Amino acid sequence: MARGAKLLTLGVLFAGLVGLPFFLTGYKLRFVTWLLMWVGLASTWNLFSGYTGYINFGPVAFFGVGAYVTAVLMVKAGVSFFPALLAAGVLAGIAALLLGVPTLRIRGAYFAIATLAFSEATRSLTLNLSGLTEGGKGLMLPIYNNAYFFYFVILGLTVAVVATVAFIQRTRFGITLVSIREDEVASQVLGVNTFLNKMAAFGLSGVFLALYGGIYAYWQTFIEPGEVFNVLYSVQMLVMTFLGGSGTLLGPIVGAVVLGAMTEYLWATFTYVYLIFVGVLIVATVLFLPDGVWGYCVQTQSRRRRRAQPAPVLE
Amino acid sequence: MLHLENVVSGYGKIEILHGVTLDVRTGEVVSIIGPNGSGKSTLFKTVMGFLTPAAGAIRFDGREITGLPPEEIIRRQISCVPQGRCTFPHMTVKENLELGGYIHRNRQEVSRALEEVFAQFPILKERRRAVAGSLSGGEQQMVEMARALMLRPKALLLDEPLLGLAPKVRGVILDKVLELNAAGGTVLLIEQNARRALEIAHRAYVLELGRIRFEGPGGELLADKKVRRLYIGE
Ligand SMILES: Nc1ncnc2c1ncn2[C@@H]1O[C@H](COP(=O)(O)OP(=O)(O)OP(=O)(O)O)[C@@H](O)[C@H]1O
Ligand SMILES: [Mg+2]
Repeated sequence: MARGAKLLTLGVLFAGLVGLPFFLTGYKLRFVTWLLMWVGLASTWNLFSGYTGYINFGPVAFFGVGAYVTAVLMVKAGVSFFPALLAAGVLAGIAALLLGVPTLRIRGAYFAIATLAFSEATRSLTLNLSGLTEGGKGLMLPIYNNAYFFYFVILGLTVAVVATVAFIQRTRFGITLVSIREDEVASQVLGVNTFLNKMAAFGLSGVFLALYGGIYAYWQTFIEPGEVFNVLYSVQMLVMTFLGGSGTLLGPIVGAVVLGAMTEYLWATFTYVYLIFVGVLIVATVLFLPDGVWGYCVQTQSRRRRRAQPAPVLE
Repeated sequence: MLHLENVVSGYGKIEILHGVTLDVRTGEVVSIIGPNGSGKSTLFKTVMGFLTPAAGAIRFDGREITGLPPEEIIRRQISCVPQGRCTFPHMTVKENLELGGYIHRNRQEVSRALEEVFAQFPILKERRRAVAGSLSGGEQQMVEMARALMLRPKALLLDEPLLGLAPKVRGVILDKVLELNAAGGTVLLIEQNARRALEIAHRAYVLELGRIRFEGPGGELLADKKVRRLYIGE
């Protein structure tokens, strides 16, 4: 696409997204807001795991920490929403860096297990710090009944996340992340400090996840550990990204919209068995579109997607 | 230029190198030969900073580099090609090479280095748009060497560059090493293939069980009866 056409498409899309809530009400507006949040969550997951190849199985830890820090600050300390949200982002970023120090030195399944364990541990901790979090009873936030506010805050954050990924893709930093995924030893051999680069991406993803968590808490007005630390949220970020195509800018967006819309439709139609359909869909994607829906669409154009042919044997 | 003194190194508590002393002078090709498991790759990883020596010192260009992390060592212009295939298989040859210039901060320097490297390896220029994983083993080895040269190194370390290559391709790779050396490059060549490595070396070391067993000019070691019997199989 020419640059002009691209900008025009972006402009129309953006105008559409800004105007959209004024044509929707109640349930539909909530659904679109929810979908935008998932587009952002999947893109954030992709920002770290999609580019570096380190599978984070516990992103919900940062989402939950963001939700609880925001909630506790608002409820217990009377801080207003945006300062509380900012504090949540900063704290989660620090938490991600602290977690990164030991875990970003290990690879493969071990990293996935370590992050999963971390998210379960943060959930238990939140349950047990009942003086601060009210434990399993959950926390009630001040009610702010303005659907447009939440739509625009989430839209703004999601645009920021996608723009960040688009920007990173073009920088040395982005290339470095891909080189880590392709062959970490090879990139070290070229003088890349792989650890620092992984830390930066991991910390950034922690901040974004926490911001979503904080907004989500205020939006829902009630949170409990079982929900905001739900392992299935982690799984959903991962599935959406792979469904659309990991390591691409548009993959997670496509994946989130497809899976989000599909589960919504299936859930409304087949309330009791919809998860079976979702499961079949996921298996089919893995089998037939290993690069994801978007990855499949761009396969012929994108260099990153090209499959290497096996090297001819010389001897 | 590169000097190791009584270097002791290994993996955790397992000591593999028990005090290795060696020298590589500016403009030399120095070979290290030795049987499987003698610690050649361990030596390579220790010099490059992937392993931290338990004792001893490593100096490069008059400065101590012992215990520095790999990116710091590479910044001091030592390039390396590790044992085994190490290209980015899904990236093109050109992208692989550009990543080799990673530590250069500006683009002009990268493109200048790219031109130089293409001049040295015309075959890679032809295949610059090919995905690295689709090249033959010998071509991939050249990509790795060329990528290492993108840093304009003062010294180049190669760990078994001939491994798994056909005899003819081995000749091509060794010719490249000689060419680099003729242009003033300093090379430390680690090889299993003792005869070839000794033939092209100014000086050589024989490593066995983590210790230097013999050292001397390449030709002298090649003529040595014991070395021939033990390492060349005559
Ligand atoms: N990551 C590791 N952890 C523990 N021990 C290791 C590790 N890598 C190598 N070793 C051990 O160190 C010893 C020396 O290995 P090294 O790789 O240095 O040998 P080499 O001389 O390069 O052999 P080759 O010619 O087969 O490449 C071997 O006994 C090996 O088992
Ligand atoms: Mg070896």
